[in-house]
Amino acid sequence: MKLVYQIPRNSLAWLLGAYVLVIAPHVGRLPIWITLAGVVALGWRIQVHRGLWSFPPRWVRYLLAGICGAGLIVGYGRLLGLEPMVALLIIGFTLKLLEMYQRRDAILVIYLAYFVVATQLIFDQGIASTAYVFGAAMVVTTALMGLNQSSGHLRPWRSLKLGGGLLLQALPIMLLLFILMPRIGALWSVPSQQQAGKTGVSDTMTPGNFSKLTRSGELAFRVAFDGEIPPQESLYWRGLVLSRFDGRTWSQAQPFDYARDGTVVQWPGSAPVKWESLVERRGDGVSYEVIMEASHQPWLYALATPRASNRDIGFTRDFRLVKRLPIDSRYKYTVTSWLEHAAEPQTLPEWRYRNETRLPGDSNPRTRAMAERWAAEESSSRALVARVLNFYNRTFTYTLKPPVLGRHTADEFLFDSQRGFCEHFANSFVVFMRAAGIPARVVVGYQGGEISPLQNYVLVHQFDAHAWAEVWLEGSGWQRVDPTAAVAPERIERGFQSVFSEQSGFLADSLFSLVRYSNVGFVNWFRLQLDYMDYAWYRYVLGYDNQLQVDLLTRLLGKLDAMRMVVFFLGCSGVILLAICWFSMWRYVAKRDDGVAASYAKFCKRLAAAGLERKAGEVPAAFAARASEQRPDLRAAIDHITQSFCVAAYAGDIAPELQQQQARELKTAVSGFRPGRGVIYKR
Amino acid sequence: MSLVRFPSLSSLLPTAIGRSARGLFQNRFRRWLNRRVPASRRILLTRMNIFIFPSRAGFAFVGLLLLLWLVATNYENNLVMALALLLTGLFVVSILHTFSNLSGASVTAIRAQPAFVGEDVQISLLIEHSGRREYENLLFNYAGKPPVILNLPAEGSANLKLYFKSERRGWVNPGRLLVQTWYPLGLLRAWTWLDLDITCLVYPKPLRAGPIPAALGTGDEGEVSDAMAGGEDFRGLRAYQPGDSMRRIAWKSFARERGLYTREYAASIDRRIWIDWDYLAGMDRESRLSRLCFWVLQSEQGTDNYGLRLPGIEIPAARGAVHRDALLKQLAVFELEHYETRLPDSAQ
Repeated sequence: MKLVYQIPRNSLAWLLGAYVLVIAPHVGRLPIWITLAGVVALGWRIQVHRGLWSFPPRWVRYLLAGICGAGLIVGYGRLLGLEPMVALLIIGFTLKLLEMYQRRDAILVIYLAYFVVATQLIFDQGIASTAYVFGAAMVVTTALMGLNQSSGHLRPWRSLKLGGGLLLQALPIMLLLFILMPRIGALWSVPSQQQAGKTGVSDTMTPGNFSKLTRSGELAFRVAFDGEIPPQESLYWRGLVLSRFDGRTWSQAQPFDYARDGTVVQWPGSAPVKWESLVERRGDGVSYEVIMEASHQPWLYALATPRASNRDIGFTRDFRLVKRLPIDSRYKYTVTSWLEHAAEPQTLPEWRYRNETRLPGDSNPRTRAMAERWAAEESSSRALVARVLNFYNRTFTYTLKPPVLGRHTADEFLFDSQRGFCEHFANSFVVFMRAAGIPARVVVGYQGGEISPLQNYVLVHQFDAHAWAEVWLEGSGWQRVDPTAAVAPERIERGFQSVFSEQSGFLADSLFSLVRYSNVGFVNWFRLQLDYMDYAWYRYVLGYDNQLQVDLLTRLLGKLDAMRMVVFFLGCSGVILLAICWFSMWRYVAKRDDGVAASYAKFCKRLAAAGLERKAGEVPAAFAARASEQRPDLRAAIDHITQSFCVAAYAGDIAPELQQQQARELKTAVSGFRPGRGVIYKR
Repeated sequence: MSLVRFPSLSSLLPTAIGRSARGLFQNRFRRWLNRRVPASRRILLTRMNIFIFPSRAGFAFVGLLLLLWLVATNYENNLVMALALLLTGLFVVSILHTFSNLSGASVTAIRAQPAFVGEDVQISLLIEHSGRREYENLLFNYAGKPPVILNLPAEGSANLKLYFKSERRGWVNPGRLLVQTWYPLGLLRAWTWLDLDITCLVYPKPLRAGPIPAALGTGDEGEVSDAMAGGEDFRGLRAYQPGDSMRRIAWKSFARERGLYTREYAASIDRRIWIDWDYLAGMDRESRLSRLCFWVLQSEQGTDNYGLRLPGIEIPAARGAVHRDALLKQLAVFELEHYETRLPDSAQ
């Protein structure tokens, strides 16, 4: 029979532990049958190790692989996607457990474990998840280490200590490389996460769908301003402009609505578009950095009128920002906005006017009638706007729980219920304006935000989602009009949270969200601390890019050139490696001289000065005998010193304390040893 | 003899060219190694004699790093990048650790146990170090033998018994001792080839031969042996045992009432065995030596003294392990200089 390779027990234990740790965070995303297969494979492998079962025969393994492959295709319907690819990886990892006979197989499983645990970081980049992944990597390293220890090794915790120690030593090297590694950007586009639900504001608006967002305390984005934070009531984060109305639902303008203006998005580097000149930016802009949470949508939020320099961000015909690809993970962008601006101040061309005043023929007859009447009564568009806002202010109620509306939403809201949330106001206002012949459109995004006292940044949550209106006025172009502000000015001035935190619909889905308890002082402080940690984590770790790299290195080195970089790299790595050598190796090199040999050497030197040279190869006892014979006056001292030396240096079978005591005695005896030039009795 | 199996590019070449190229390469390599790691009875492992290079698993690990780097770059994910860089750091750190798992230990050859051709020669080594570190999973072996695994505790020492197989007799050098380790992560292999300056005595392979032709020697040198029936010389008396011949009873002493004794006679017979080269006339030298070797071993099992006669050499008869080893040594080194030159390459 062939000698069967046995994976060392120590290593196998850690390997199976690593398997569990590596799979665990993926379980929530995987179909249940993969998890079950993992449990079965693990149990089987343990039984194999205990000698109760044997490895599955080849045909069973092929069958399992076939079933799993089919399961994947049926379950996901495709293989080119992040989730199916990770699932495939995990299946391979699991099945390999059942085929792990050789050392080589074990190494493959361990390398797969490193890879699978790394994929977790694509799905979740939080601090906790990162800590978990690095902890799991430590266990995987321990398994790799156990594989290279002799098989009789029975000290598993020692392996963990050593494996952890190795990773700890690798940490400074990682930091250095992390700082210096050039970030070259994606080489090709890769499949991204697809199962995640789209969050935040959607690209259509029907009255009733905004109040859902108020149930969520999740973060939408954070904004760090370069200078002063503008006042709360001017923080209107424009996301989408909705110009098309089908009688019930508002949606974005289609590219062919702007066909006469050519392309609707101005991408950096592409040919300039003629509509660029329609917006006038006045005065100094406000610069800020937005870190957006994954929304899985392509549009970005900014104050009007924005400009961004990132190559992935385009400027749209309706003066917003949009990214080339959906935001599937946190995304950072820098924007400058000109709060003072004029958008399309010149007279609108006929086709534009028609688009922005279009209403489906049969909708909202009562509103139309009233709008036509009021338009005739008022002298100017501005006066009409003021009159409508005044109308809202007198009889309307701003509430989280508006009644459900029927077919003619504006009619029912304006004349029947008069209770509504921001989208009811925006919807009815824009319908009213259009009916009165004034170009108007709905804008959705977020309003306000919470200013974190720790750092100069603003937290915008999902419940800050808002809808308002823009009307086009002769001479000044598009103007923001927020009908909600007419009803509930405190909503705009103090923020959503301060108005609604007592109302029952608020944060209904986020029972454990700390935002819910922000009226409790220390909870709020704790929540803001946590958020700051998360913010810093994203800003300096996840968001460490070429820009930050250049900034940091310039600050460290003064100036960036190849010479300084090389010196910095070599210097740092040299220091790190020397430190590792010291802490893990040189520290343990036996101390050759613990004072004992030096003391004895001093003794010999003093005797030599007195004319008694120790011969080469003469053992201490023989030397002592010879010296005592020639200098009988020193016999006691010589004997004492020689005996102490022999015990301190050579006695291996006595207690170390005794030996140390002898070493001390030797030292004192030698320092008091003054042979002088006595008479030497020649034999 | 081939010291090390050194994998080389030349092994990919066509056989004939390959063989000569490999031979040339190996010769040069051996000469270089002799300068680099000279022979010594005690060798301290330092950076002067330790080699280190990534193992196959190490190259695979580098592949893993590249893969992780690709994922990190394409997903623009700094955390995957950090993990990839952490593992890079792990690789770098493991260079230091693998190296230091050899460095600082010393290997001393203590002695070699003589053996016969075709058998394993045992070499005793002392491995020691004085540092307060542990050494783990060191592998020691001579070419062609499975490795012996050693863990050294802090400030520890260990005795190892290693074996190598010799296919020729005489004073044999075991070749270079391979000491290697993959500890701690298996990503790198640190190794060294040590020439411990030790030669082992290898006896000829014993081959079964017939009985040794008896040679009764002349009386003078002979040794008085057991009582024989036909002996003539009176040797002494011993207590009567039932069954002794009535004729041999010492009646005189019986008559003096001293008890019943039997008279003993002995013949002087030369019972010494001569293991003689000339008995095997007609065979070649090595066959003769093998059979002589067999006779030596056989004679030591017996009860008689034995001696050895080789051309120009005669060792007087005696008995005991020391005597046997002396004879075996004579056989081992007999006409070694002719043997060396005659030995074909294939036997090396």
